Amino acid sequence: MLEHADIKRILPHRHPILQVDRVLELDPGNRIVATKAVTGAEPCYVGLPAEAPASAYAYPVSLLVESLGQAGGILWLHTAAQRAEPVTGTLIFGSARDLTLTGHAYPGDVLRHVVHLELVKGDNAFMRGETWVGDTRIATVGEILAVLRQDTTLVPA
Amino acid sequence: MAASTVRAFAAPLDAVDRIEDRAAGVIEAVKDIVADDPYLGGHYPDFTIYPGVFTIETVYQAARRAIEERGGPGTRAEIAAIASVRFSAPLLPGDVLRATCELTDLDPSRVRVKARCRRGDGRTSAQLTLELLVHKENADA
Amino acid sequence: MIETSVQKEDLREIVAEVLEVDTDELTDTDDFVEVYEADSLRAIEILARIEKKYKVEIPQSELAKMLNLDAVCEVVARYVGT
Repeated sequence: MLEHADIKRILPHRHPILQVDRVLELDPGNRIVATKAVTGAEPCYVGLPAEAPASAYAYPVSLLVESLGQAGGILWLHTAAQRAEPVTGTLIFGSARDLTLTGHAYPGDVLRHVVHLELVKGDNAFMRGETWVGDTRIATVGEILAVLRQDTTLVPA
Repeated sequence: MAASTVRAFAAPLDAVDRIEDRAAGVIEAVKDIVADDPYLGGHYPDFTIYPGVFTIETVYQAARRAIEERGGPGTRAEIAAIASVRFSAPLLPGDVLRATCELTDLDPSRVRVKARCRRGDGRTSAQLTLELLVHKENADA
Repeated sequence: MIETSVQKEDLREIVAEVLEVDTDELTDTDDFVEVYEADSLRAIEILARIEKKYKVEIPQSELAKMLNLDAVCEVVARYVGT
């Protein structure tokens, strides 16, 4: 539904930290399904010693959370654009709660994020979501708060 | 301690430059924010901000190192949960991130890491609570 | 219309959860910012949870008044059940 070029028109993130490849479904104001393919060519795998065990190749949780959060960011910003609500400022990861990890992703896996937009209050959006690899849920997050900051200092006053 | 040891697990960057201070169950990790670290070129092209999730990475890598040193060869620690994280001030190139991490054993295989991260100017940049799962890996390497 | 009454203990629970403190620790008059280092993110979280629980909309401009539990009760009471 949205390809990489479309995503780059919505999110300010760029290679290699742009962590969403494709949007499969987008129900504005409600829900997004987006994917990110994990490959061994990514910078996070640079320099791993040859004798590193298989577990060393688990996709880093920090990047997984970034990817999930970016899927949420697309949902929010796309929703706002569709409703012709002016969206300005820098997209900031404000906070998250109750994130649990129940599996891993490895090179060759495709992360599939399902994120729900729960509430938008001014420049703040509350979301929750899950990440799947195939039929296995590998992450659940109870609450993500994304924020748009207008000032250049990006400080939540 | 410099980050000269080869990191044996996938990570977006070496997120700890040194661990400067240790008390019982408390470690302080230091990370100099520099624009040419991996991934930062895309965050963002016009101005660099240390991504919030990389602060999680800093705390995780510091705690992991402490737990693995304590547990001996084959000990592995991975993130099982992020109970809570909030970001209250940005980290820009030139800033120094100091993460004070308090490690508490919840049971023999679970460690809670409560961290407060500050910038050079003393301002809190983030507060987070992680749960790490600790296990022994077959030392077949 | 459904009668919804604002219970202080319900609000205490919401605020304590957001500020990550025990409910019996949070007094009626503790200043959220001074005592618990609440910032704008925490404030907006409290507001969002209250809106969700009571199915009301409270303007962000009210946040400036919601500095302790008593003040939160006052503000919320004005929007709920009226």
